[in-house]
Amino acid sequence: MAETNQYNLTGQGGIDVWRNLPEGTKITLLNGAVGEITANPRDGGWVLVKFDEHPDPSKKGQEEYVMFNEVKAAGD
Amino acid sequence: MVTILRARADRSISSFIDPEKGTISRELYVNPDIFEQEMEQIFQRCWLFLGHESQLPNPGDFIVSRMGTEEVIVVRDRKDNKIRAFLNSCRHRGMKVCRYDQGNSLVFTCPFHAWTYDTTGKLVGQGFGNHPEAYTDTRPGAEWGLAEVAQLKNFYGSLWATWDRKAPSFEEYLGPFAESLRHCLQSSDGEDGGLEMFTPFQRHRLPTNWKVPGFTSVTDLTHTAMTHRSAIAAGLHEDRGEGKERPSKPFPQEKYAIGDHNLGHGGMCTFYNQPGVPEYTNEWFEPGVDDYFRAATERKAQVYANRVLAPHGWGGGHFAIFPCVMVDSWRLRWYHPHETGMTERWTLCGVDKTAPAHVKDALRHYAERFNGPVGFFESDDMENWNYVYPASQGAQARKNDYFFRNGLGHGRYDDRLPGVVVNGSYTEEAHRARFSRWLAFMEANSWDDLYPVNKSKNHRIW
Repeated sequence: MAETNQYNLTGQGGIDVWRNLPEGTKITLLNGAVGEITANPRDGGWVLVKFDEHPDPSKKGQEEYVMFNEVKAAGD
Repeated sequence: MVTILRARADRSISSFIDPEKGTISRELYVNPDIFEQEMEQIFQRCWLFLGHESQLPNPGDFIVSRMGTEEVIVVRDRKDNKIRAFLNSCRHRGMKVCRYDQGNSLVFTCPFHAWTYDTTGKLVGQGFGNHPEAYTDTRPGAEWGLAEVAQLKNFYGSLWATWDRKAPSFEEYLGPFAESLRHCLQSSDGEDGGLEMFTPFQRHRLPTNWKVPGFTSVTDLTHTAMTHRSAIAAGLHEDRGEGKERPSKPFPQEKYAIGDHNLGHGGMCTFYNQPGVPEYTNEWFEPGVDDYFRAATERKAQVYANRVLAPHGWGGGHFAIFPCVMVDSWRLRWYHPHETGMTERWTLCGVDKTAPAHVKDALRHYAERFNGPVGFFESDDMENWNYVYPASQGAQARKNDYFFRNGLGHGRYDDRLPGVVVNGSYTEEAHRARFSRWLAFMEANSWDDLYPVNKSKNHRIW
């Protein structure tokens, strides 16, 4: 079974995991966008993500706040 | 559009003050309609004190302060390092976006619908903001950032703001008191902006109208003998230590009560009659503290070798910046109205940024001993302030006007402070000046009707 470095964002424990995600963590959004956390305000709602890939090409390389319910996965 | 209340029942606002008799109706202190009008006419227009830059040393640092009855977030931006102030109310449904007194943050997130603002107040996200069945083309734009104050001024480290774009500059608002405030914000060796404030600071509520302490406890020398009798008898007033020395060479000076009826500021005033600074005299228990202040005073004497001290500040007594700030050489104290009969008092005590730890400790301990509900001196004042309100509220009590005639008719202008009325130091001149200004604000349609924007206006009523 392949090892995974993904964070478990589900359930009660997932709230705390999300709030403490470190900078540099890879984030994959439900819309297919992929980026990296550049800052985490630790408010339990948002992380700031710089996009490497995005369905909207104009957002590639841009930073945007992403809410937890837009995220498919965190980690490699 | 706000309706300006010019009359209550069959009385005009101005009829609550009788300049001939020197009296003021108690309605000004206990009437909720008047309180509501004050919030609109005064607190929406005046420059109000927010705090001190030393409370926000790093990018992302914030404090929650108040402007009238409302909370504002004062925050140092993470990118440009600029300090801004915003109403602490989400633009979506009005929830507080910050529920801490102070801290450091990347964003301010509303816990209701997750509308989120960065440290410039810009809206940077909202819950389901990217959902295909949510906002789509109705997503809020840049105009939905947090409501920002119209003007903010960092005056030698002290932070002031107004909601009114038409308000004059802060320096114009202060008029001849600008130099006095600047002096109070100097370190003890005369360096501009040389203070930092002790944190956390004292804050407590008083069950009284904001004007009881805010208007009539500054320059109220006649209260001291009785109100503070026990503290003075215990030797706690003059001295911070074992006994204040008399200076070997008295510094030429004159002391007055003063009031600027067109600006509303006023208080105790010491006119210094020659350049330089008064001689330092020992006053501390704690070892080494007098040594520090004596050396600082010697450096300050060099700074002021050819300058006359501003007529307030260090050793000069305290004065008020209209509407609700009291300033002296070691404190900025201000009164936030909450309701007609509820006021929140905040006290920031300053200390030289570069002072050694033992000096900072001594000053902090003295501030704690002196100020606030457990301070030996201010607890005396609170007893008066707290009982004034209930004893003035009743139907019979309201029929008995307050006496503000002490020294009425004896004020004079003095070239050293143009526009300011100078009177005996035990008079109520500063109180009357505040009420001249109060009435002007309550009757004005906008800053166009108010000095100094309209320099032809003279609001002195007594």
